Amino acid sequence: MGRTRRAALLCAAVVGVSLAACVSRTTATAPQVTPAGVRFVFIHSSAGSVALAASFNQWSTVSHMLARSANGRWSIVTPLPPGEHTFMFVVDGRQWVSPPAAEDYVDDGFGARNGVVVVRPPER
Amino acid sequence: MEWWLSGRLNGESARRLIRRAAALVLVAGAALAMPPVSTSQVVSAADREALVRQRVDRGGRADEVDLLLRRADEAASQALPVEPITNKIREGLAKGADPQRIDAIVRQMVANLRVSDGLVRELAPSASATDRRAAVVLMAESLDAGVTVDEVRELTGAGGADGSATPDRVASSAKGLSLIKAARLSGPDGRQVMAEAVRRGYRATELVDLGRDIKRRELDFRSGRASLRAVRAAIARGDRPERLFRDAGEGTATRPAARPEATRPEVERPAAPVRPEAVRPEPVRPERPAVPERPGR
Repeated sequence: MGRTRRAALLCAAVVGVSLAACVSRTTATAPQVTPAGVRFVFIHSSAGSVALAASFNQWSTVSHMLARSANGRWSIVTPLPPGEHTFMFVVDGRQWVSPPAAEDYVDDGFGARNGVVVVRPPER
Repeated sequence: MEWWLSGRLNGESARRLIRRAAALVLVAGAALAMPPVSTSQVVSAADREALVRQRVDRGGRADEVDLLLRRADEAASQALPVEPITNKIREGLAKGADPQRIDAIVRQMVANLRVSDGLVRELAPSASATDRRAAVVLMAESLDAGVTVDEVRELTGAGGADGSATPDRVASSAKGLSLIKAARLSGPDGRQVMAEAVRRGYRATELVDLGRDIKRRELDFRSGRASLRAVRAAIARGDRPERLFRDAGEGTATRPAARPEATRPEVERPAAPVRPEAVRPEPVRPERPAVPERPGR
């Protein structure tokens, strides 16, 4: 009985770890500041292209294209000036997607929510 | 025209008439075929063409874009910042929004920029348009988000007569208040918090971050685990912003916040884009006493 129970616990643990790993691969990530700029990440396994359209690029759907890596993960690192910037992702050039993760959100006035990324000025 | 005056049309006159008519048609055709000259002072001809193309590709018309750009011109003629307006127009057109909807938003933006400009001029009468710009834009954003002119005036008054109510600090406190209101927390209490922070000399960036920190913990505030009055009291005691939400230790304004919020579906939190001090340390959990091992059955 004790061995059975231990085996069941082990199985549960394995399943749990696998699920956690799976979740971590598909988890949305809010923009992060890196030494090279702000990193934007978007997960979409079936997208042919993903663009970052934002207040800092005049909402262009072609100027900031994300690069695809494994597991449907798309990312771009772009330098941004200090301030508050709003953004969305554009899938395949036509589907506007509110960021699944962001520091904050604001209504865009057109029925969707823009993500907000705040770049703080360097401490003096 | 002699053929008309003489009442007869001979062969030569007819040919002349046809030649003139053909020339007129050619000129008119060329005029129509030429790219339209930009009607906007604030957007370059090339930019306008791109915006028009974007609109036409979606089945719209060029004059819809011109109407929107005229709103930006109107703002420029009043020495108001135009960048937020052109950005909103670009955003709306890029997202395929109805031009009438874009126009309504832009008109409201222009109105709020005008009010903000007046408020900032009251605070800094001698400041140039360039110097006023950031404060005007931030204050207009706050008005867009539901902060009232009376609230801005109250925040201005909080600075007292010592000159600490600078345009950027008042605008930032208004922005902080707009974030508190966006979290659907008490406006009057939020106003008191921001006014106290202005009085205590919080910097412009700290005032915005204060509002953002409160919004981030909106669930705690709404559930009663934290209170705006406690935050205000902590600020009045002299707590600096980095200490307000740092931990749940004695003397802090709130208990530690629940990290996830209903409105923010992300699992991972941004560590870096947020200023480093805003990231709270993980609460230290007391070590559990060792559980005695159960003997196997």
